[in-house]
Amino acid sequence: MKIQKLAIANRGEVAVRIIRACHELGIKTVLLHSEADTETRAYRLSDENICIGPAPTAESYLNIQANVDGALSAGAQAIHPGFGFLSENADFAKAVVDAGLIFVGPKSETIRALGDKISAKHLIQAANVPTVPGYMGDDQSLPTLISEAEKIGFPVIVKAAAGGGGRGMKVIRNRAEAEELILSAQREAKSAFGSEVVFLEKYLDRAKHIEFQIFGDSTGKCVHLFDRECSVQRRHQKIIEEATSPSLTDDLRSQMAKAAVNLAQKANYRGAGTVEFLVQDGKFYFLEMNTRLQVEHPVTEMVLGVDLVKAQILTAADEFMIWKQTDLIPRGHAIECRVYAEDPYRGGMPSTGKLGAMHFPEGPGRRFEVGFEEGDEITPFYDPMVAKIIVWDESRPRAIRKMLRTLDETFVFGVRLNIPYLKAILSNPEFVDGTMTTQFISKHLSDGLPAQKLTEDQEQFAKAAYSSVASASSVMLSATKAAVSPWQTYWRSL
Amino acid sequence: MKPFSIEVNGQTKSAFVQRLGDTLWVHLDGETFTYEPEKRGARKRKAGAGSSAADVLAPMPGKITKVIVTDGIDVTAGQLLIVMEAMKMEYSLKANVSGKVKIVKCKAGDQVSLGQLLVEIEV
Repeated sequence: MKIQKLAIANRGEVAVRIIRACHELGIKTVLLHSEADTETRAYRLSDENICIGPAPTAESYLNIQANVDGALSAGAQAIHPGFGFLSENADFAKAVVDAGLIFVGPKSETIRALGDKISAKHLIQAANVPTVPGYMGDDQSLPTLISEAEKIGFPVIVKAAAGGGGRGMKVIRNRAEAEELILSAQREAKSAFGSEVVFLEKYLDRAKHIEFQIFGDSTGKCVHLFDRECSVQRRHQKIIEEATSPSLTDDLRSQMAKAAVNLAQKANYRGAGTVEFLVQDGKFYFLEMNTRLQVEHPVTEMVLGVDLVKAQILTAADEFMIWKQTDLIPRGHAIECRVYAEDPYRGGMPSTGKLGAMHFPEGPGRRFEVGFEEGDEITPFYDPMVAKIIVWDESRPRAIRKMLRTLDETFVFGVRLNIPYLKAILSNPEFVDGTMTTQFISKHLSDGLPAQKLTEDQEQFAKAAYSSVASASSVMLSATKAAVSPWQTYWRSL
Repeated sequence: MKPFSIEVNGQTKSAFVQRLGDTLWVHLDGETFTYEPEKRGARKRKAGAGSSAADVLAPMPGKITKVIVTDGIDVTAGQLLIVMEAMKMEYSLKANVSGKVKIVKCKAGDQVSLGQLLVEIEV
């Protein structure tokens, strides 16, 4: 079926990414957004916009009916869920299809089988892929979870069964903190995913996080698009990702790729998916499968010269995959940094507010995925990611140097950014060697950076500049009014 | 945005600058920082009426998801007092010091702003 108009059930930079892919394919877009997201880049770029509810995610971006109704009312033929929010929700995929629309992603049954980490583990055991020892039982009572954690042996990690992206995940180091952390994980899981089911797993303490991008089309053909390493994580949230991993041998890489493709084929997988592994001491363990596009998909696109979002949309419209496994050969090295509105000098605390001037310095092999423009606001309702910066160069050392240079030139005024923190990671010898594990941040940078103190030069420059720029900018400030959404009234009258 | 140049100590320096309210944002030599001139008679923090190191303030804007302690109970340093959610992550707020809870100034479901006083503790 030909898609003429596609609805986007997401926000931020990924919504922009999908809009761009649609426009290049000659497809019109409808952005399904919350009341808080009218002053955003995606809103301005989309052909049409429909407000689906108030700012809190449960009432808008996580509201299945509102998203389906919004897409129908605009006359869209398909919905792209992006990542996060409803992207791995089987009920949403089913509701979309039941409404006569195309869901850009795998079938709801596939999401149900793979998206739920517990049943995915059974599937992968059937495919003979090693998993980390753990507990994934139906008995979710606190005493059972605590005694199972003791059986596995501390440290143990507790995770949301329906989760992803680090939410609802905690590492329990000993018996004493088990109760508090399990309850906290359950609450986070409930709040973020609507289900408080958790599972437990042995925590590997010096593992690397390496994942494989896979892709299947409607005929059952399935390829892998090599690996990404995402070992640099803070509170289980990835910060820096790269393709390909600097630490896989050819042998291990081909074993893992084979396992990933096997799993995808067993699940009759359609579209883009990611099989995540932990790798420790030359062994790999299945971690989870994400049945959606990943935040870090650009690094794969950069080393292979492919467009995963367009491939997703075309596959959803039942077109055949144009890639052959033998044609997919990675070239050079790509790195992605997630730029968050967080104050690196205050322990990474989220920083909200209206954005001032910003600059993303373009150049060969530099790619910027940005969801906001000057005058837009970072609100406390959503993830504080402002942009993603992706660089490609011919080798890993060159890519690292290019990223450092790019970050030096990048700025966004009005909120604090984690850029100094990203630079500290990229300059750390363990990162430069490529030997970093998922412990990297807790080992080297858990407390963020020491408080920023202005040098004499900086202070003198600022003092001298302060009075000179006052008048010009105050004009700019008064020109930016409080955001009024035309859709607020539209929504209320629905 | 074009860079802004000015002479400092006989040297011409160039940077990106923007004044937002009373704050000057500067991007100079690969580093972003802010500058606010010191105000005459400005109060750093309202002494007496303000908070002490023992009090627990909201470290960020967000929503209170759970209040564990009640007025009048004794707490030890490091004890969990409040759980809050901001930007979809959960944060545990713990006591900085041992003492007695004088008053809990929030309840589950409250939307709180940065720096808002949540729990007063008497040492």
